[in-house]
Amino acid sequence: MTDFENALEIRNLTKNYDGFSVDNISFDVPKGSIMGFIGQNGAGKTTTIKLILNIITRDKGTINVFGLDNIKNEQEIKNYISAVFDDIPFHDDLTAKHIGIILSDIFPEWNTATYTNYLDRFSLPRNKHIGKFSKGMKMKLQIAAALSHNAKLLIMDEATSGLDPVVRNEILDIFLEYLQDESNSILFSSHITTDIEKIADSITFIDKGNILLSGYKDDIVENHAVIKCKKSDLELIDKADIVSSKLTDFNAEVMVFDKNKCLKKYSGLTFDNTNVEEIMLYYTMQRKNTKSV
Amino acid sequence: MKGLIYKDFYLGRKFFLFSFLFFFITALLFVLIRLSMICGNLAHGILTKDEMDNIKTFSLYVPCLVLFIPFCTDGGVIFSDYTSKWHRFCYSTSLSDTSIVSSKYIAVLIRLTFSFIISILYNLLMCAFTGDAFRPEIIAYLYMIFTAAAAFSSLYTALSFFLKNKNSVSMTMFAIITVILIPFTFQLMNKAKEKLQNEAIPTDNETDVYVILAVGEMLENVKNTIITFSPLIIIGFAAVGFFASLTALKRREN
Repeated sequence: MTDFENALEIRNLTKNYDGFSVDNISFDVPKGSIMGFIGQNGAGKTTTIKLILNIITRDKGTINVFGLDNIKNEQEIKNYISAVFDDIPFHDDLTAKHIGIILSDIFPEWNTATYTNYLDRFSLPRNKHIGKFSKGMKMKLQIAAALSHNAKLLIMDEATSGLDPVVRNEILDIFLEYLQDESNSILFSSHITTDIEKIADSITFIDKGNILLSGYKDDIVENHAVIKCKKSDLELIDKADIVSSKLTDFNAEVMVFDKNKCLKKYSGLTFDNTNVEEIMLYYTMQRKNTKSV
Repeated sequence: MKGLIYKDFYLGRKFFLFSFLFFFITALLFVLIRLSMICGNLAHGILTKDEMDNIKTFSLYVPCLVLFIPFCTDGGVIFSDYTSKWHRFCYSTSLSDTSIVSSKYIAVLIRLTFSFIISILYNLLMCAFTGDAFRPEIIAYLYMIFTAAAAFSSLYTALSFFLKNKNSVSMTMFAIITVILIPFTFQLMNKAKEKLQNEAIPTDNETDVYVILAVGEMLENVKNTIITFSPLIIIGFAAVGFFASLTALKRREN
């Protein structure tokens, strides 16, 4: 693989279905970082991931992984990609031991010692059928397999959904460890914004097949704020500064996207810091155009 | 690819073990029948010479058919690949579509070769047990069965990739076999009718003996045809099945 700046580069990616499209999306996952790929259910996260993995074919656009086209160089790049899905893709009748045997033949850089260490670390039984694992155990097994063949890009599709906080925390810590090697990168799709908040370096927000936001997480969070004011004060705020707002009988909460500018402009109003979840909610509201100004 | 073949055999192990057990029981049954023909009730002139010859022939082939038929299928592994979403995992790896399909067809070859070897061993043991000479035409019949099984397996595998559903594949295969068997059955009936019209029926023989003789004649013709064109049949069906399976895989989840 040639030297590359971004582990993943997507340009003008489009996929059309009846009633839904991933429409002209572009974003990058810089090398050595975690990109949080957030959006509601049905926003297009899994479709985008399937396009990256060439599980479905794109209608337009380009996808480069490690600087190489994902279709022309598919075999080469997939040796260094690991995908973790929300549903474990292993047969219930197999055991962790069988998975090791099977995958050691599939991945050229499979490391049995690393796999065994992860099994021990996650306390996963070798000879128990996967069908009898709990959801957390199944996810840990997938992750153990994903981290055992020198993958440079981990693609996680809702990997922490349905897991309890303890297991989620354990998995997130594993990801942070994985990124100690600066040549590794993660694309982490989730609708659990607290997980994204915890570990992501950058976020991309997709809604109804369109990218609404993409950039460094800290910058995005810093640049947005929620103004809490009376309904009558709403008229003071320029509509061009507003993402969207929530109105009650007397009050309004308005999200603005250029906090520093707005702090100077609306110095009499109360500004609250925000977080990824709120940003996602307000941008979704903007799309739905409910109670917007 | 070794890993994929290992997976398929491991997942199908119960099905294959059960099928082998069924073969074993069938073989044992025929051994007992042959024993009875040598020194039991059936040795006391209950059966005519033709009937005894037919039973001897059936005792050599029927258990082999019982072994070949289930071993033509993969025990439903391709279906479980789709229900467990293993196929999605494969698409996310560097496994090529050719490797995925090849592993299935290599598994077919392994299963059928195993069945062929076991069938020959069974025949050798039966002949050693009963004191009969080993008949070379047995190899020809087993080769015919192997060829038909290879064609069936290729069709089954390709349909499994396309339809992804056990019931759909079973119904389609049943429909195909029925379509093939209908003219075969009509031809058999005509043959039996011809025999009855052309030959004088001895008063102490049942009419159905002539049907059995007609079956024997037809099978002989079918055997000769299949053996003559065997390499063509095996390669043809395998090639068509392979490319059809590849086409089904390339359709991905679009």
